[in-house]
Amino acid sequence: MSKRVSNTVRYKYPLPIHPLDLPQLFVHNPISWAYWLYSYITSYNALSNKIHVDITKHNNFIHIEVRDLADMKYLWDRGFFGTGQLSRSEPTWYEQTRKKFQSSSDGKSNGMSLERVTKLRRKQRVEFKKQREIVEEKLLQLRREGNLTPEQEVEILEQERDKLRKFKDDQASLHIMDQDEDITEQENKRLLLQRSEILDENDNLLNLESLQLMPVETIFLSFALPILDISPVDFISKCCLTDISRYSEDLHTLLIQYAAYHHYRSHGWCVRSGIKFGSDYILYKRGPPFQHADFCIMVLDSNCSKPYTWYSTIARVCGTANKTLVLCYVERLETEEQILEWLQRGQLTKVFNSFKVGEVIYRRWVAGRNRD
Amino acid sequence: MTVTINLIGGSECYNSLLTPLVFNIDDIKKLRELGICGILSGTLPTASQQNIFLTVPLKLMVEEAIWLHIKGLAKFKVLRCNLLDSINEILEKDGEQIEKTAKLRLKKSFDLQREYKKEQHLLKLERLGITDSERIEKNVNGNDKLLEAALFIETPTTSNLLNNIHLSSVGWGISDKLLKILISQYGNWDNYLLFQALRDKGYVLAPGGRFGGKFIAYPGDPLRYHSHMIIRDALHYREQPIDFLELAANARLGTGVKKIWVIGSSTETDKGPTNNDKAIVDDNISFYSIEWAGFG
Amino acid sequence: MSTRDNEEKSIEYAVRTNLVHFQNWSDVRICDDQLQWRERTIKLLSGVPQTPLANGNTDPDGNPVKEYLLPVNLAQYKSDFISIECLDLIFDKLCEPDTKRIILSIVNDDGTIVFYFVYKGVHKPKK
Repeated sequence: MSKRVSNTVRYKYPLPIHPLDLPQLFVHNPISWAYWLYSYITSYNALSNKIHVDITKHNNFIHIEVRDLADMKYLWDRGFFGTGQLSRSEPTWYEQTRKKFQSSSDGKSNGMSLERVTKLRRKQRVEFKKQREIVEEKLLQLRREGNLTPEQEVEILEQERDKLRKFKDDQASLHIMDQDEDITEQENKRLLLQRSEILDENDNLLNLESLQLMPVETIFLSFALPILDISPVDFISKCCLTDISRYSEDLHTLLIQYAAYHHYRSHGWCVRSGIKFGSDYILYKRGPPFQHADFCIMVLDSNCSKPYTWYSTIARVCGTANKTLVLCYVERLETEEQILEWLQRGQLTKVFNSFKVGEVIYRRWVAGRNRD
Repeated sequence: MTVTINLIGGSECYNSLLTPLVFNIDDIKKLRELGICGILSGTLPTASQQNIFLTVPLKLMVEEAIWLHIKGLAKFKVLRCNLLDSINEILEKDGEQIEKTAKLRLKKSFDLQREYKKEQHLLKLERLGITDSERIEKNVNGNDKLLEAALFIETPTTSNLLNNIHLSSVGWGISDKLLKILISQYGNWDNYLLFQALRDKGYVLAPGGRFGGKFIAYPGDPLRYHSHMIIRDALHYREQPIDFLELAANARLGTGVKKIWVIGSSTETDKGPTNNDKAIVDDNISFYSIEWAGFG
Repeated sequence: MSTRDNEEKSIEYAVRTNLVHFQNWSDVRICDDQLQWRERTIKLLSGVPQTPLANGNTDPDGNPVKEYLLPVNLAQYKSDFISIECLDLIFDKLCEPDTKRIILSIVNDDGTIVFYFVYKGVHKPKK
């Protein structure tokens, strides 16, 4: 419960922009007037400095990174922008590693991170499967020997099942307790190398992780809410305009991807990459710490047509993850030449105003199962 | 020893593609032993909405039909097909003969019916105790008009004309022609090559639409084994990149249902099916099987 | 941009960092052999996972053995061009003769890296 409250406080602002925080005004109290005025004049809701991003290009693929720890936190907390390269989503590598070092020095560790829980579960699953194989083997052996009545078999099966269940429970508690496993030579070597790369000469922990922004996030944070220290037009041309006079396929795809991204962001959704579900975006009502995403978005050109199996595959992936598939069709209303001209003149608002978004929900429907 | 596959469709009111059907139960058994399962698709006219416990005909995938024919295990026959040309050809050649046969058959049928009716009539009179031969004579022959009106004209359930289609062609001729039509209608020949390569490796294949693939493959008879592969439509060896988003989606799906995603293509690019008559093709197919690595 | 800088931005390097500092692999190396393919030079990585991976080989003591990884780019508006021909070339030129699988490592432009087994030929799924 306390975690929920702190989340609400921590993620108070859905975007890196917010109204002035003004004190309450008491009409009959002149002092509150004065204080209110003072606050109004001194408050400032824009960032004092723009956030620095490193843009690198390798093999024609672009990487946009924020390296400053405070900036990383700022962008994550206000709208869940970017992904930590060495974390599942929120950049927690530095904090985790720092804690690990601390805990190994004073022999205590506090709290389980999400990553550790996930790893633990996977490990448990592997061990459980091993155990199950043993049981299956045993049963097979008994069956081969042949003198089993059906009742006996059922009884043995039941017993083994109980054992397995118990094993699963024991295992869970065991692992949370047992954190130091016996370290093999290989493991020792690995840890040594790992540590050597994360400490500087003075044994200070380096931050190896940066917050990586998707190209569309970068455009949003430099065009719609200009808080990055780059120009969106320069960025777009860096992304895909090797020849600025040409309306390339890459450019078109980037523009429609952004049109869709902006569309959902401006309707209050938290939009994140959908790669895990084979889709372009997933939509959160608020953000990853609060609840699961409800929608998978596939961004398509308005005259795009795919083979049936393509739709059915994506729909099945979304279905098994309990998400609704939205086909987001983006239509370009202006000519390529017009778009290029506006782009070259830096008139991005005009560029993006000439895209129209239309949506269709795609869902598998089975007559026998969807009566209610 | 060969199995008869009936091809249906081809007319404008149906889907214009030919559909291979097998009606003979023994043939269906034989196919099952060959690892060709098809899908039972027959329902009763009174229960056309029924979709489980189906019966003959067995509907085959086009790939299955082509494979069987190429291996010399089946021959094709036409069933309700738009074959105006062939029919005209037959009419021109054998029209008179067919008409004669038809008339002859009708006449024979009438004669048999007359004979039978007279016989029945006599028996009836006998039962009524009428033994006077003159009266009998009068009664029987005086009713000729009535009798003629009561004769049935049999409407045949099979077409005489269509039976003549394969009579009129020599041996495998028409069957080979039908194979060519089937192949010419077939969308992507490389898909057939994938089918053939997997079939020749011993896998039993079924349509994969439900799993977002072209086929699903079983290591043996589907009643005995789970399918563990989803096969994607053939990729072009050189020109078609793997779509990583599609890969991510399929690997995720496969993890849930314990199936691996298989992609493949023919390494001999741009080699169509029409190179020779028998359309036998080599199996230079490159396959890759893809699944989530379990981490990351 | 300096060569060293460039090297550190390569996807090979991105995959290496992820394996060493997030997945806890050991003996992670960027292989020397390379293949010219379209717009890029393809290099594999090799490394040893912390625990044996599904369907993977193990040494006599049950420890994990070396795996090969193929890093590829995926951005929202384009991706690396890897055809089946390319996979054939990789298995033929960059892997030891009896290599049965490589791990496709997709470096996404959202900062994540996802890993997939790619087996040569038709292969059973993992248990």
